[in-house]
Amino acid sequence: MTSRSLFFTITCLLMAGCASLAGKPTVSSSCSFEQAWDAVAASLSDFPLQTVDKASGALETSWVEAEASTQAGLLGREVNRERFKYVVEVNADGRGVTAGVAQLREEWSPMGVQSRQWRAVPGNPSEEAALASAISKRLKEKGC
Amino acid sequence: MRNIAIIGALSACLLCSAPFAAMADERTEKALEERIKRLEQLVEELVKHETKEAKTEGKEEGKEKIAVAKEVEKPPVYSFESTSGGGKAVYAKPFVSSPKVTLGGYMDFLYQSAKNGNIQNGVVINNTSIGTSSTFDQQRFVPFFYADITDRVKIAAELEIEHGVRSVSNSGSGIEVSLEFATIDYLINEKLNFRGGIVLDPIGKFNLLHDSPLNDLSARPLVDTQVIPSTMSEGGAGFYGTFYPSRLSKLDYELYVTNGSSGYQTNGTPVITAAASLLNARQRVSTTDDGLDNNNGKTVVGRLAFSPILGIELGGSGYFGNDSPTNYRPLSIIAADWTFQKGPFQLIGEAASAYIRHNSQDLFGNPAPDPTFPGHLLPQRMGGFYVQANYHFMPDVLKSWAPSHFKDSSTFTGVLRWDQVNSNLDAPGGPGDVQRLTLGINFRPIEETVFRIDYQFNYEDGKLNRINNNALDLSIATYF
Repeated sequence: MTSRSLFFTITCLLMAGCASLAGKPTVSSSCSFEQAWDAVAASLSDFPLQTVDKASGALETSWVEAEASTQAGLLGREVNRERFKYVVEVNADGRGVTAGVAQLREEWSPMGVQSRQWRAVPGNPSEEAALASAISKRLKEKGC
Repeated sequence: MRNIAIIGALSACLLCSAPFAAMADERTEKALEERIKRLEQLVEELVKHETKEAKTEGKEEGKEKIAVAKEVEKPPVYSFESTSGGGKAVYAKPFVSSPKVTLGGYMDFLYQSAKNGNIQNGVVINNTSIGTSSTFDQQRFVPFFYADITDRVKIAAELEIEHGVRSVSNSGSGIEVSLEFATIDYLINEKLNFRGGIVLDPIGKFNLLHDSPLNDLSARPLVDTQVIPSTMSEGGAGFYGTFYPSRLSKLDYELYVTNGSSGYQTNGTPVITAAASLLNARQRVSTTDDGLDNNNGKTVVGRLAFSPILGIELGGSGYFGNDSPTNYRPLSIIAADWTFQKGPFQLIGEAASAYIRHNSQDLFGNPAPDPTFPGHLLPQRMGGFYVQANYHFMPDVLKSWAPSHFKDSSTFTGVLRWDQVNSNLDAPGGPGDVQRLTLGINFRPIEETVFRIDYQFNYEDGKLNRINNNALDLSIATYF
């Protein structure tokens, strides 16, 4: 039983470790880390920030509630809720920087057991792309 | 902008007309008053018309709708400065106005045809219960209520009416109407919230997400009808919350103290048998007065679910209590559940094991034969699992052929599930030793309504006999 628990724990940790922004919109630039960091921070300036960790290059906004894209039940009541947050990771390599953008999204409905908690759903790709585009534009404005 | 211009012009007209009205005689005053009223009506109609038009445009196109919402409701707007296109779609309404109370519900309806007469109809001849092999069954009609009492106090409840066509029950068990759950939540923060009332036992994932419209097959998994006899709900209280250990991971937990199960009727007759498994030990069918605790020992039940990234979730849960009214007879259930999703593919499942210590003895310590499994004692250990693969798809040809029926929100799902359970692991081949392979396909015109066709290959009485009792299920379920 102990070995099973250990295996389970290690598997979870490994999966958590593998979690990255792979497959999400990424902006590449020859700008410096400082310039990229400033561009990302400026692009997210309208959002309340939850995490600003320059050492690890990560910015994370707080949850922001958005209009729900779904309606509840056959009657189509507009009582469902959605919220999202952005995670941006800025990484410097030998040639410049990359900024990966991800939107985490959750939904909630008062319908039956769905009212128990927020459930994770895929982020909105067009909104992720829009943020990446905003960062890219700011980086270009910096001339690098 | 056009609205403002028109309103401005009309207001200017009204203002300009005011001095004249003041100087006019009584007749002129009345005429002016009428004119003003007409103008006010015109303005009102104009505003109503423009608002209606804006709403219609918003429904047709998401971005337009957002623009209207921003203008009308003035929510705080979050956007990427100087971006266009998708960037405009990013905005927020931290205080979405919603009704204080939401009334809703779900219902399902089933037609089942089985090879053998396994559907009990209450007729017993020569001590043999005679069943039918096909029936319609209005399984569940479940109104529910959700209320925002304050920003922090919430009430949620489901009232379940099962097999609702009856007004009386032949078996004398009464009509199956019960509060499936009824909870009062006090929200403290994301990580810690209080919940009290009739809580859904967080043992396994299916018990928590058992609403029929959510399921892709008509029948519940066998492990979730025998080892975890869903729906399991009990009076109790505790805490739940969510942690975000890393940027992309999520950890949900629930932990409650409840009244627990009751392994015996009030006359001391045991209810946990190979055939009934733990079904009749649930508090909701307990024969103790008002379903109150049958002993002073409380049950602790909890679940931890970890999602390292979107699309993967692993859950572990436990249920530890005492089911005896007279002495200590621990009943424990442990369960693991998993969900993996990648694109249209989904793999879900659950495994559970139960141990009912000393259930093979009666309350006086004597061996207790199982009336449902001759020659064997009452079960002490039971277990099982299911694995289910889903594939979601929607052929484009159908959307172009009948767009009003097959929309972007519509989907088909192909389902394959393997069930295996044994309600007496010490004696294989009993009435609760069953394997099942289910093939199914369902259609959801919208996410919350499902039409299902399933075929079950049932192998009953374990691997020794493997009695063929295949069945066809046709069902409908919808939230309303």
